[in-house]
Amino acid sequence: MQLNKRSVEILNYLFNADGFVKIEDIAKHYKLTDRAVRYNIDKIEEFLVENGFSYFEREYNRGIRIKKDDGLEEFIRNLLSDKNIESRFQYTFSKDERIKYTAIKLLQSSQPLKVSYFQELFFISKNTMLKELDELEEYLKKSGLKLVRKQKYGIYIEGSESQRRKLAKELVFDTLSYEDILNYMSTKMDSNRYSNFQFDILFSDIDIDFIDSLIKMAESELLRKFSDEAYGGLLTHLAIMIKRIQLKKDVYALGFVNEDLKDTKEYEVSTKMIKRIEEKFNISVPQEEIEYIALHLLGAKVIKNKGAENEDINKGLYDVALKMTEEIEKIYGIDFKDLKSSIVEGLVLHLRPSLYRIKYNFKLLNPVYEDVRSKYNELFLNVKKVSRYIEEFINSPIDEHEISYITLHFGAALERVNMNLNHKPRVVIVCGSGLGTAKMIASKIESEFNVEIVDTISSREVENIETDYDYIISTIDIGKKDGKKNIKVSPLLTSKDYEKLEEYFNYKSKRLNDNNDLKLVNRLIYIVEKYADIPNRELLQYEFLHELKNYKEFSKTWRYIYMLKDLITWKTILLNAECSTWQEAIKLGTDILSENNYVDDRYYDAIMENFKNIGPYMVVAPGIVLSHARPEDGVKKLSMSLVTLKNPVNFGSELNDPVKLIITIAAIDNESHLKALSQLMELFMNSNDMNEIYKAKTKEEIINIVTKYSK
Amino acid sequence: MKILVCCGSGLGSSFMIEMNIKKVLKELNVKADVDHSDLSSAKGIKADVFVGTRDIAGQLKGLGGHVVSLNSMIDLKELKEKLSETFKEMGII
Repeated sequence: MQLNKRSVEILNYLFNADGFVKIEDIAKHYKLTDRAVRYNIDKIEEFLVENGFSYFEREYNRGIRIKKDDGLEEFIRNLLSDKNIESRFQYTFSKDERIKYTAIKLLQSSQPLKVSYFQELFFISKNTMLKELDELEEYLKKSGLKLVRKQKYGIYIEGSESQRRKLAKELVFDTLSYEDILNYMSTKMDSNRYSNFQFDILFSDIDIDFIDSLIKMAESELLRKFSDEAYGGLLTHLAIMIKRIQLKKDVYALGFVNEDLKDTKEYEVSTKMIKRIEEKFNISVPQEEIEYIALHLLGAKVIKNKGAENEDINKGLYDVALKMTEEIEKIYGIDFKDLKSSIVEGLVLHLRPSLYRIKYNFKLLNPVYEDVRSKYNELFLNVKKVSRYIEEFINSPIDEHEISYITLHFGAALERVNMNLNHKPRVVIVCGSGLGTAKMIASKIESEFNVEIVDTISSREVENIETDYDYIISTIDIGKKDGKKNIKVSPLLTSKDYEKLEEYFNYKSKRLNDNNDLKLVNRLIYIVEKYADIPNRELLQYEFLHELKNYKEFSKTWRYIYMLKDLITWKTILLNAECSTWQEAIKLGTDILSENNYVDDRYYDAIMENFKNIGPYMVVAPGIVLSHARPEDGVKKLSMSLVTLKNPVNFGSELNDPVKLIITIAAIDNESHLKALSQLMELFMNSNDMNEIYKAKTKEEIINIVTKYSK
Repeated sequence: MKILVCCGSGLGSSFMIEMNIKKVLKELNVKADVDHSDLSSAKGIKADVFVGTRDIAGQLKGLGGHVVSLNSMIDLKELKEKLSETFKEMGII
């Protein structure tokens, strides 16, 4: 760290002064604001400590005093004689920063500013400046403001006061974080050079300690503690407001009149605050500003609330928060248990000001909105869904920034119950039998549970898994013991396996647990009771539970079942085709599927490879070839084609040649095609129908036969 | 008793044969677990009887069970004959 020229001068001044020096005196001496002096003093102190000297002595009402350590005098002399000091500390702004800074400066200025003023400020050429003004013009246009440029007169911004202020505030929060403001408030300095410019514009000539005390007063009067952002927002708002009024820009229409507002405690506090501002700065603050501040207070996010609120609103809000929380529980299949009441209360606390913000179209930008969308998008979308309860409650839509705040609320809640939202457990599937089984298990598990399948491998590969993982799910016993959990399941994933998996992973969607079942059943019994006598309650309860369980078993295993006629269709039948070799015959069958985009070109190659390796085993019966490879060999969709040949070809099968019928099957897993396959089997075994197939001249004949077996 | 039907990929024909075996078992009044798999997986599965079509059957020998080799997978008569023969060898019927 280095000191700039002014700081070195102040250091020298302090060193030569006798005893304590007041900040105001330094300010007067150097024609600086108190704030600027304080900022410099802090920098100097930091610099001295860095170089091994003592901290300043600070005393209330007396100011500061420098401790005359050994060697300090010489140190300062060296600093003063350093010729490079002038050029030091020249920060270069980026184009974006320059444009924004120009905008802020113009928004805050009461008179036109010369282009040359900015040129000097940024050390840039006139051409660059003019180019950037073009961009600024576009930027302002988006906010409904106009950049006016007049020769010899200067540049200024035209537009309504409310839009000017809105943009000013947006710009401030675009470049300053709440942390910056709070940091600034606690240390009166900022490490970021650019934001110092911001603070200079925002708070120069304004006693921010005074504003700070106003907000603290509001907090104690309202018996609540604002969140850091709300504090930063209020501070900025008040600072901008005071500056604008000082510039006599006090025409500020809110665009709505609200009589209810005047009855609120917040309005009363706001009036008090404004009165103190008027006294302090000797200005007259228009009535509308009071309303605006009152709204700010109403809309301020709160972290602690000791006051009693409006009972009706609270009751309604509580219901909304409860509904939202319960639905989130359902979606994530968890139970907040003991934490639930605190989560709901926290949400109420958050929602209360949100309601005012939404109602009065008061946009609160979430500085971490983008983060929320990229890190917790799934949760965000779920929260968006449950936020309909709020929308219903206030009868007005809720914007995504507000939703992102609620997302954070639930994100924290879910993390408290140990649900890691970012990190899905990484799972490797190991399969003793074919890889197809592993793939199928993987897709089932992935669709049911909140896990990430990082690899599916065969048991032989277990010893050299390269990817990082948390769990192995396998269908066989494996010897790997490196502390990672190994969960053994059967290849069919029975309900027992699901129970096992449940212990380790969270379901994607809520699977009602037994406790919820009982609640549901009791509600049903309550309804039944209204209309009928129940002689044996327990038995009814039992039967309901039993029914519910059956229903759930059914819904868990239910999948669409493909019939033969669903697969052999107009699109996949080819009759009396001509070919001279068995390879061509196979190609006829796979071509139909690839033309329909059911498989890709790899599928044919894979079938050929199988013939090469195992022989003509796919010629399963006299005259019939069941041409197929594995799902992972390029199958996109479960499908089947039927080809009859005009002239039978030989496949080299001793007993079953020549082949007249080519059925090509493309399966996507080990299961979904089995029903159709069994129907095909029935068909194969009926020689009459098979003869009809061989003789068929039209697709219709085939479809009629196929339909017969599709029951 | 466990019967494992094998085919090249474990997807199609083995399942079809499995279906037929179940029919035959009923007729013969024999109880057994029937499963199907692909050829390479079959090597890791224990079974009393391995069933496959001719081209496959050769590779099923040496897996530690009886092997039934089928000429046609749709020929129930052949299947029934060959299974009965094997069961007799095993002393089941």
